[in-house]
Amino acid sequence: MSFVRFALSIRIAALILIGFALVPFAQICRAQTELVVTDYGGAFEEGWKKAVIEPFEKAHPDIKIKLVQKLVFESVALMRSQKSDVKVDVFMMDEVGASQATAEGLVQPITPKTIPHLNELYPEFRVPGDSFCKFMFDASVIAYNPQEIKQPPQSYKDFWDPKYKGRIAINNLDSTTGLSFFLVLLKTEGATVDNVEPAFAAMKQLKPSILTFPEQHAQLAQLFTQGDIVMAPWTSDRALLLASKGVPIAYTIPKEGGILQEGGLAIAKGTKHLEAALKYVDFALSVEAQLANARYTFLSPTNSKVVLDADLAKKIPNGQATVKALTHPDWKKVNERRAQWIDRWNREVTQ
Amino acid sequence: MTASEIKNEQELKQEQTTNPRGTLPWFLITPNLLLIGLFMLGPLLLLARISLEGYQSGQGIIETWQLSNYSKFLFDPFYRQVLVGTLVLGAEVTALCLVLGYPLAYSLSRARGLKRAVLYFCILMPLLTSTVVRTFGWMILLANNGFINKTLMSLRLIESPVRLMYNVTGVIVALVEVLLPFMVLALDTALLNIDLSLYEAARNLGARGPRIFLRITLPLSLPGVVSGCVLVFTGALSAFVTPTLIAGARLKVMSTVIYQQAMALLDWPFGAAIAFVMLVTIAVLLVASLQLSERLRNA
Repeated sequence: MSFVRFALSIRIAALILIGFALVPFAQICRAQTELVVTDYGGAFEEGWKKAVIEPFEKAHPDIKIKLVQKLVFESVALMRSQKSDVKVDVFMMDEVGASQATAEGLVQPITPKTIPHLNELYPEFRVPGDSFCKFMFDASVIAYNPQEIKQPPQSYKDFWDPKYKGRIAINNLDSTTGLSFFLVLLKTEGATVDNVEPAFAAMKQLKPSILTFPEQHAQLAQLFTQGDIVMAPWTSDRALLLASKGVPIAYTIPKEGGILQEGGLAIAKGTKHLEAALKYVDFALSVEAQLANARYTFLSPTNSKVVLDADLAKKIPNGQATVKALTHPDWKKVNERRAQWIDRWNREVTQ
Repeated sequence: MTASEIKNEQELKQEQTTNPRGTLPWFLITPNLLLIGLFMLGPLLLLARISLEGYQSGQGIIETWQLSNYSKFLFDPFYRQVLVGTLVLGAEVTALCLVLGYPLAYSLSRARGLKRAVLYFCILMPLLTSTVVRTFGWMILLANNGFINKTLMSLRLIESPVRLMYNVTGVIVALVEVLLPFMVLALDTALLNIDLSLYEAARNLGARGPRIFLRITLPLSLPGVVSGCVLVFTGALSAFVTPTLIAGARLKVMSTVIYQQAMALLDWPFGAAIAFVMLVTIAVLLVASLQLSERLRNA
């Protein structure tokens, strides 16, 4: 090797070393906190970015948000595995997941003092001990294709109508949409959380009519878009979101009523960025963010101060009266029996 | 010199060329060993530990030492059926890949120059797209209102859609597509290794096509058949995205059952135990098939 080339490589090596040394220095200069938060991804995320992440970062230039996609139970699994060294600070999850995480002691409780907007929520959306908070709700509904079904379904019993054989999907019981359908079924079949026998009997009858048992919203969206199904239990916001993309889909809350489903935010216990996490959660509860979420992704606001645009108010479930009219399941009891039900469902329904 | 002496001498020669110094092979495999030890063996040990713990829904994992997760799986006909069903699916996919792959590999091994390059690229094609995208592609083709059914219905060949999705048929089709390259490439290597003069000798002695195939091509390509089958079989057993998206909850294979326990029910200990049952089953089958191929080669 000639001397010139040797000298050159020394210089390059020195430059690289200096570069590495400068990285932490540059980070100190910016003094930015990186807050890692989860969301459900997909079509939901497009709205969440515009409604929450971008305005939040604008209002807090010192906080940088890193978004990772996690479904509810993946989130609980991650919270458990990162217990000793928290990497993801705020988790988006529904009641079923959040109450599980709370029971395992994985969440950092909040108070109206740390989250001022908590006081503006409808009282129904506060949880005991404020272990987490609810930033949106939706109703379990029947979604249907209005081109194929002219008269909106009147009842959940319509799924048993032979004319829909092979053209319906029922979410698998391990998803929240599937669980909500099962809870409605308990009501229509005169069953209870403690005696689910009639509900399983009804499902066995329905089994041959069901095309498939999806587990994720994206799968249901695909089924409706391709026209493989004409009716399925779903949620108000997801049905509207798909309709806004031009797919023929509408929803109805039949006479049995709907289940109140909520989206919550839980702060991981032991987070290294508690202050930023609190600011982020508080922002998600604000009128500004919730109104934007309703506009972009049809999430019903939990903040009582939100005034929706007139046409939006007609479309999405909202207001104190609606919240009261929806069924509020005893999630604690449901969670305790969930595993048992799923095991039986695996053997008797999807087998 | 007898035949066995020739063989011994050949083996000796081979040993000398592949193993010039005792330390070099060790030196070469050390980085791999380190990687496997760190990122494969470590997590596996952790998984083994978790599979022996208990789980109480609502409380989480309970740190105990128990075998109940394994007995829960092995003594339950439902889960045993899942294991058997997964193995049957794997066998079906492997058999199809072998039947479809052999002629393809044969033509590939005979092709030369640009023809071979183009063929090679076409065979590799399925591996160039991500699993999820490829699976969605299959969904568009196989669905009730998908391309295949729509075409058949517009040609009035069928009246109502044929169920190609949400059952095991679609999964087999999609798995064969993605695993076929592994079979073909393994077979290609074996077929290329066959000395062409053997064919000339056979023809000189008056043997014809079918006989040459049965007495020369097939036996000499057996190592490729075995390694191709092993690759395809293990790939089919561990497939997760394809069965989930194409068959959905109706088809229960080991990977989806593990996912449900670990991710939807959060019962890690039971999920880990199922994963270990699967691992041990695959390991036993692999060792058995490798031993079989060894015996076939010596016979």
